[in-house]
Amino acid sequence: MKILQLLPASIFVLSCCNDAAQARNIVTTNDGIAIGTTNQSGLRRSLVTYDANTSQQDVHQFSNLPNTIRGFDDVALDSDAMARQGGVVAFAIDASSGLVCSFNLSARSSTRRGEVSLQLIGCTTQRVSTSPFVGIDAQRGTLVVSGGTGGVSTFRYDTSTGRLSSRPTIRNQTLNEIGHPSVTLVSRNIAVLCTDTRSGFGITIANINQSSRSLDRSRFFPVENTVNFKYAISPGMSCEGLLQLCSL
Amino acid sequence: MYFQNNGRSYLYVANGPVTVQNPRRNGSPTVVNVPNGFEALTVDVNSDRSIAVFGGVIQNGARSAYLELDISNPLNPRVVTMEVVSGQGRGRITGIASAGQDIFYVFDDDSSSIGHARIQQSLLEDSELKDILSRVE
Repeated sequence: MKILQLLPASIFVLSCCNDAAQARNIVTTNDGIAIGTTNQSGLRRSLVTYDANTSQQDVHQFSNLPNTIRGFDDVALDSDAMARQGGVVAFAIDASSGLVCSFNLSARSSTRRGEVSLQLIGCTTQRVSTSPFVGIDAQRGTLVVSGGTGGVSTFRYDTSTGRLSSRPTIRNQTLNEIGHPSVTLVSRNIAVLCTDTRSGFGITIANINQSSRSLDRSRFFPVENTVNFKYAISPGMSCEGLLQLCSL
Repeated sequence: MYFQNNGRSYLYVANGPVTVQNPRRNGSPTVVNVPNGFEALTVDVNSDRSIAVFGGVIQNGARSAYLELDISNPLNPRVVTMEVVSGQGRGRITGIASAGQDIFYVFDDDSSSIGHARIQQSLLEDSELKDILSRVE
């Protein structure tokens, strides 16, 4: 891996974390329902919600989840999608299989018993790069997988149903950098990529060209860094708390 | 990302230091003043409340904490408060999220627990803030 060749100090960090707990991630809806990943033994294929209005925490298990999914490592939300149906669309990536799943998250007011409901909609079927660090974000029909050192991928999803395209529209496209541990979307066509470059860490702004199915680097900002890989936890960390180099 | 009603957006980054920049323009990020010893590792923005929350570590990684910033003036945030938090085990804070009046956070512990707190409603007096920071340094 390039990252090991160019950053020998990271060897210990990356290898030492193989048996360690995976970094957990979390997002929240505008009305106070958080959804996060879990490291609890036997529950990594589950997702956890916390409703701030009731202080109720629930672990959601999905009986119809594909067997290839080993556990979830990062989550994202599109609060605008499925709003007409009274829900929001949540996404979760499994760094091990390189697959992404979408879920319908329904708030208390729209469920019969006033509980938080999280239902699997479906998963992608073609693996994309996720190693050694990966993050996802989604907005208005575009989902981006940062891809680690293997390149960035994008998927489309139907904003009225939350259903993901089974195959990526852009798959593992590199931008001539070492890698991207995570991503945040400014809009559905502009991605902010946490970037490990040959000269340090920074932020890459990239335009997503849906028609040509390509990603074009627009600009780059170097980011002041004092922690390097000191607190890095692989593999499935988002920029949000992931590689310490950039959290968006 | 902090999305303002006027269409402007600002990007907050946690990479040890806390930085902010306009992602649509060229230029170097602005480094935000934060309490000594706080290393930012995760961030979320609550655009409706003009608040940014940063999860990180203090005391050279020995403890986890979150920092709440008032970003009404996006390029010149002010510290609202800092709170020390802990998970179910020895892990550090790895994720943080905020919306409405709420802050949520998780650790890299072997649990399913989600931590929850309410955002601080108003800026503390300087003396109150110094008192909080002195207790965690």
